[in-house]
Amino acid sequence: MATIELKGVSKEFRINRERSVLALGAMDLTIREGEFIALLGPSGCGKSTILNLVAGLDEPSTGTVTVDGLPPLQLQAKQQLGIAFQEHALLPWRSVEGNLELPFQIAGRKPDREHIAGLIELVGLKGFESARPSQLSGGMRQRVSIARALCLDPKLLLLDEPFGALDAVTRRSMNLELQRIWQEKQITTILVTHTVEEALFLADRVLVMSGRPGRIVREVQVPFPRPRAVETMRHELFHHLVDDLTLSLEPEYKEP
Amino acid sequence: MQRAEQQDGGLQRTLYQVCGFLLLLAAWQIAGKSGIGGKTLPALTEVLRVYTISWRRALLLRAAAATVSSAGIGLLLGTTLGCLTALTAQLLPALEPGLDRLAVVVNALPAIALGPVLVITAGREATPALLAAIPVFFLIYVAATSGLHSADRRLGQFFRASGASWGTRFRHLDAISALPALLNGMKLAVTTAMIGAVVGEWFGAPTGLGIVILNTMQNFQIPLMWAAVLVVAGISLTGYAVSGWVERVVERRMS
Amino acid sequence: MILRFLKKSWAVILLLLLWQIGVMTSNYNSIVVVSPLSVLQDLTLHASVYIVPALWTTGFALGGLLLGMLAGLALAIICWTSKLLSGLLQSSALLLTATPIVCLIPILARLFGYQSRTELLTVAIMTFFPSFVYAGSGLRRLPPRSPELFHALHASRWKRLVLLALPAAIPELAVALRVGTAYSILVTVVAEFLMQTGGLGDMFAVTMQQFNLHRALGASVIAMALSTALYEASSGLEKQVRLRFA
Repeated sequence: MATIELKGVSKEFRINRERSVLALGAMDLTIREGEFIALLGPSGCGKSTILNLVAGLDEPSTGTVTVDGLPPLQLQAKQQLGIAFQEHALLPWRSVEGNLELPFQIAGRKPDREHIAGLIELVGLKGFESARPSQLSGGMRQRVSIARALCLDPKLLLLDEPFGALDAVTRRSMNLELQRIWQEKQITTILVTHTVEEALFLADRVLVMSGRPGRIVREVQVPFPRPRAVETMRHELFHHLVDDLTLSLEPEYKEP
Repeated sequence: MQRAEQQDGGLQRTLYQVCGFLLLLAAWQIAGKSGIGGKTLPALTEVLRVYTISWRRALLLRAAAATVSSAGIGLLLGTTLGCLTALTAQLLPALEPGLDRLAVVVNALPAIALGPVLVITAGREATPALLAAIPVFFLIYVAATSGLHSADRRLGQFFRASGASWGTRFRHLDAISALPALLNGMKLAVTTAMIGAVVGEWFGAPTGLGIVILNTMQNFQIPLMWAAVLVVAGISLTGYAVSGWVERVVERRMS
Repeated sequence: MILRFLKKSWAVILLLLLWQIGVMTSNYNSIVVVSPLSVLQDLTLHASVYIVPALWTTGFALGGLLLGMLAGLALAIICWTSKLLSGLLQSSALLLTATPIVCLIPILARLFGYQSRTELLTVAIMTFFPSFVYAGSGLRRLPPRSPELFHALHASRWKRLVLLALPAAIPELAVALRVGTAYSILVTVVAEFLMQTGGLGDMFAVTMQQFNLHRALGASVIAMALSTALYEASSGLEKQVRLRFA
């Protein structure tokens, strides 16, 4: 498992020679080992930027990002980073099994068949091993995508709106699934989402972000014990927190 | 942010492309001077000198005018026929498989076989234009049918649900959706028409760049031959660039 | 079965009928204008004469096609590895794509001799460009976000090429193959005609000089049939590939 630390991190994007946009204001953030963090915010608030910085896909303009005291690229090089996107990013010419073998092949390791079979079972796709992505529903593709992120037993799991393209019903059942899967692995996880219920149901801590420049405007420790079930979502406190957080997503929201 | 990177990258790419072009010309010059290709590959400067000699320039200009008009007529004829055939296929879907096969077969007609037949039936002057029209017809037919099929299905349903007549639907939906594919086809058709016209001239047209290429080859006037080939390439490239520009303008307008 | 054949071929049959009627009603000399029936007659009566040239042409067309496709793919991969090389080569490639290659046959013949290898080279050059252009765009047409995934897994350049870019380019390569096959037979025949190196083009040239028009047109009918068959085969392949890779 991994501890993540962001110190004075900001990110600026150049538009042209004169102008640039501050995507992320200077921010500090510490994520504890084994913690599930949800970054909640409207689109364009810089939440994916944070994810890219932690993944080492992008460099901060100022400040430092460290994972267990080391730069993210070290984690990348050891293939200890699991990542899943809204655009499932499955290779369309490979079967479910083939897509799960991919991380092993990239790492230059022999695919661990038993491990892969276990993961397929974990995400509930037993019997679909040889199906190709085009033959699967959107929810099933996201299951494969999450299973692939878990293939190499990562120390850190990054989920970039993994259920953003799914309908509300599928999304809810996928939330339950993810909660169950995470319960088994307990990996340090960052989830980027713009759905309040999803953040509250899955995370230990919800960070609400606001855009231009991106910054954290609110932090909520989620009080519900694990494992969480559907009933949690019907809890009065859950509803209350949903309303509260929805309000803080409004553009006029003032930091307390 | 992406646009900014594109601009920077675009500038760099253009620079690289210009350098690549100059390198190509330099390589030609060096290869010609060193005599790797024997007498067949003269230096670039020798080829360019041809253009400074006035009677040769006049010869090339006259030939180019003949070839361009043949290619142009072929382009027009092929495009018209291609569009009309594609329209027929769209109007009467039952005919489509047969028209598809016809387009493929017509395209497979070897120019060398068709040339003599056309020379006899249509005359030497008309042969280049007709030979240019055939591959253009194929390209445009393929581009137009795939373009006509590309109209958004939901939009089609919307038109049907609104009780639009075939004509209205065609004017406001199908024709417009087919435009990008058609223009892409046009871009390729320009070069194809030039090839057709030049090959057509080989069957004994009175004048044209194809004739110049053939005669100079037989008379060992190698620099003049290269000069003629460069003119053909230049015309094709100009046509390609112009149709590419039109394509981009239309694309920007439609997206 | 017959109905399906008619559905696909009615237009071609109509064209042949028009030709036959045209010949029968016009008063051209039968030495200069030949009817499709008489060509068919020569094809069936002297079928064996056509076999060797047809095989020769097919062999050179496919050989050149393979050579051109491989060269185009190889160059596209080289361009893929370096922005500088891709920039440098792109302008030359564009230039040559727009250049009518068939017009270069006389020059190629002069440079490399009036031999079969020039024929192979002509077809290879002709099919090289579609292969280069389509492979180049295919290597860059990756599934959404997959580059980031490979980056996050610290994939080496080699793994990125073998596991991601090359398989992603296969559908575009299939398009290149279809476009290339559409030309391969025709270009081979023109090259054979000009250089008289054997094959159907050579046969056409020789029989034309002897005013044996039936045989000359028979040779071109064979070339047409070969070209059409290859084109339809490669279209079928392209469809299969599209299904498999999308």
